[in-house]
Amino acid sequence: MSIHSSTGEKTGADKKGQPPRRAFLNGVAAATAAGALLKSQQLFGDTAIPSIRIPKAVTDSLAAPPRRADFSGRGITGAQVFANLCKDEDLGALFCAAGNYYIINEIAQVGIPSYGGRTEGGMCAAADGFTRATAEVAACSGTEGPGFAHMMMNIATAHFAHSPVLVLASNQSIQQEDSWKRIQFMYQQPATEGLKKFGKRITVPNRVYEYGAYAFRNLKSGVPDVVHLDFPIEVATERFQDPAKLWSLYTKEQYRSESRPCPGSKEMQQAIDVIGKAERPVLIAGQGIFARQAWDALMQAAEKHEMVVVGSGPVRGHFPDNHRLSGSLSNGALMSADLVIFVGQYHMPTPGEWTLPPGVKTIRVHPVQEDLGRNWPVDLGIVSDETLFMEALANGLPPKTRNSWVDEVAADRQKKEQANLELYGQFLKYTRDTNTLHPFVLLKELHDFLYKGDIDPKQTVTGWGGNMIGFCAMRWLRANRPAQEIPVVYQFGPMGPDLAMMFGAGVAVQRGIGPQAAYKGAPIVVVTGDAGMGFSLLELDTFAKYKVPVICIVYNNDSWGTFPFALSMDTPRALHMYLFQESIRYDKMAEELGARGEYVRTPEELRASLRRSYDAAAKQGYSTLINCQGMKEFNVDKLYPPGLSFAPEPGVGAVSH
Amino acid sequence: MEDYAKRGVFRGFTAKPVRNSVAAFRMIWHRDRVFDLIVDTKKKIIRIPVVLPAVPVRSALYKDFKAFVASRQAPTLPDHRRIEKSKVRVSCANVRGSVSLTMAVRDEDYAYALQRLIHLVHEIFVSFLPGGPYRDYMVEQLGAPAEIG
Repeated sequence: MSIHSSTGEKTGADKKGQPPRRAFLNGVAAATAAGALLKSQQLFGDTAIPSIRIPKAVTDSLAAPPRRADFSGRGITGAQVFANLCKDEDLGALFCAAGNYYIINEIAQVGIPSYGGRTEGGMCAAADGFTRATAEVAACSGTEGPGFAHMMMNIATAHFAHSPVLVLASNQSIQQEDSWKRIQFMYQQPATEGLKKFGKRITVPNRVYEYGAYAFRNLKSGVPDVVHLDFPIEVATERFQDPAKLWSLYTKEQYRSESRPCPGSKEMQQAIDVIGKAERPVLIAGQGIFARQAWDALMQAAEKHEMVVVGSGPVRGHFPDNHRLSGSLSNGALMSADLVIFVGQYHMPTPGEWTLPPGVKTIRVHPVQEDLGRNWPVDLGIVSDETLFMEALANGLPPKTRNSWVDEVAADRQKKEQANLELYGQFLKYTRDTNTLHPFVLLKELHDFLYKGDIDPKQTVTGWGGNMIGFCAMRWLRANRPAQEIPVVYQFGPMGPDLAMMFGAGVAVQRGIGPQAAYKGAPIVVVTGDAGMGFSLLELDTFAKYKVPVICIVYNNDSWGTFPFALSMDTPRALHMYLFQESIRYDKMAEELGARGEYVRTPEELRASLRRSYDAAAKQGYSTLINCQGMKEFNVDKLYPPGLSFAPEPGVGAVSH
Repeated sequence: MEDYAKRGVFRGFTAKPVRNSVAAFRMIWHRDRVFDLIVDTKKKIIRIPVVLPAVPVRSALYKDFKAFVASRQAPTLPDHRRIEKSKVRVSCANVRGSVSLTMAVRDEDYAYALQRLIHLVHEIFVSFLPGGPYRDYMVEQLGAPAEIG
């Protein structure tokens, strides 16, 4: 399938025949970008600083033939044994910063797509982003101590998003344990306690395959979550010439099963009867629907029996926001539900958190029995795989129409959209008065560009984070097909990994994996704040190195979004800790990292910039950072009312569950 | 009330003995706050004396609150959502900042009145407050996390 540029023009997904980088910059990019990228600056006399470029060694390395090690000759190392197992499990990708050398080198060498970025933390977020965009397993890696420690925030983020991320780390020797010999030794496993499904420091070399199997059994069975393996040097470098030396060396078909729990016929009939009698049923399509790729069966059941559906989870779109049965923008109407059916809702809310009636009759379907009844009382609990349940439901439910219920939900959606437009009018006035972009106006412009212009509204994957900018993004970004939107802040609420996480999502789109297949090669968009820049701006280098086009929209209000707390808590001496230098040019920094940079202050400038940036990305594969100048005072509710906070849940904007 | 408590809608539910046709209930509900609910069958009312604390009488919040409560009786709402005027009359009051809600029961259908009152309060906390410009109020008066409201 071809992808669409901002003018609706179809462009090839591959980059064959594209003009050279210089020609592109001369033709498309702003003069400032061209100047920064092309001119060799005179330093001292004849000494020149060369232009930024991707070294040939990178291209050559990516084109090098894969090689699978075996027991012949010198034998196979522990790292190679593990790499082969990862290959046999079709590990989707490895994201790492150099370190944990034996493991990452062999994973790359065996032919698993591997990506080296600027920080271990950023690459851990990228692995998370890849899994969110594909429902496939991805790995990240760091070295024993500092690299692993740098990953912690994003390991936790992945855990709270139930992402099947394989965390790999180590490189030090067990022999130096407790000795302070040399540097970097750190016993890691306690650090991920409470943040993983399974973890192991592999200390016996002969068991490296066995624990690899443990890892994938946990990653690919039941409810997904983080798995953490660390490989001391004795394990990674041990050589095996005899397969008999490796314990539990049997294939993936033998060390794990694809068998899934199936709903019993009696409880299935019970569910069908209860749903059939309901007048206003709401089906909450949780993360499990995405993880098990049950969206087609969900659609079939919903349309056949006219149930209102709301998607939830750390990735959105497994039920499209723009579908007539979507309740994702109808929180008011959801309060009319007389039955709620949770399917694959990994993080259950507690009663009182969601816009559902108090004490509403509830069915919950979950693949793990132990979780049924957690947080939310159930009238009927069913242990089942999400796909199997949805297929059984689609087959078992009779055709039915619920016109008045569907109309009620549609009317409420219109009301919500109208309210958003009224808010926009108010915020637009602030933008005009100050000649800076209010974040709500920024997101409305992006919304119109992505979903109401010439681009296929299902095409562009977006990711977002940040404080004030996040409150606006959650109200304007949409998911019209599976894995189209990634709320980076889901559940754990990290600030900053937005751009890095979307590198992984961008890789998934470039390679057209899973739900991204139809939009292979399309650009992605990330919305973040200036605070986020401190965490992951440098990953623009990684986007450029691997030619993954991103449009990174930075809301620049010269501060942490939470700075009003210094005022409201009457602690004026604390204020400086929340503020940055003003007018920092993130766009200029982007240019020096091999991307385009644009600086905008008005809706008109942003609109034009989006068009240029999208074209540069879709047609040429170039990334752009759009530095959107706002004002920190927009965050002060009393100065620029109304203040915004988290959107009502569930639906568009949900980040807690 | 007990049914709601059993379904996890509120915690710490207690019922005081009925005296002079007045039944009083206490529970921990939204934002972990204690709510009292009084059923007076002589006066034919159900009342929650403090739904929201510390709301100035002349504030935009109180004005919006009254409008929201009134909107729940609008004939344009579907039957299953409307607070039916022929069955109950809902009113709010503000006494030194404490905003109360009262349902006057017109047809002895206390179950209906109770159900509508519980739904109304629930909607105030999950829909009206988060959906409106009240982040400061939620943080300062209801103990919401400062970062997210």
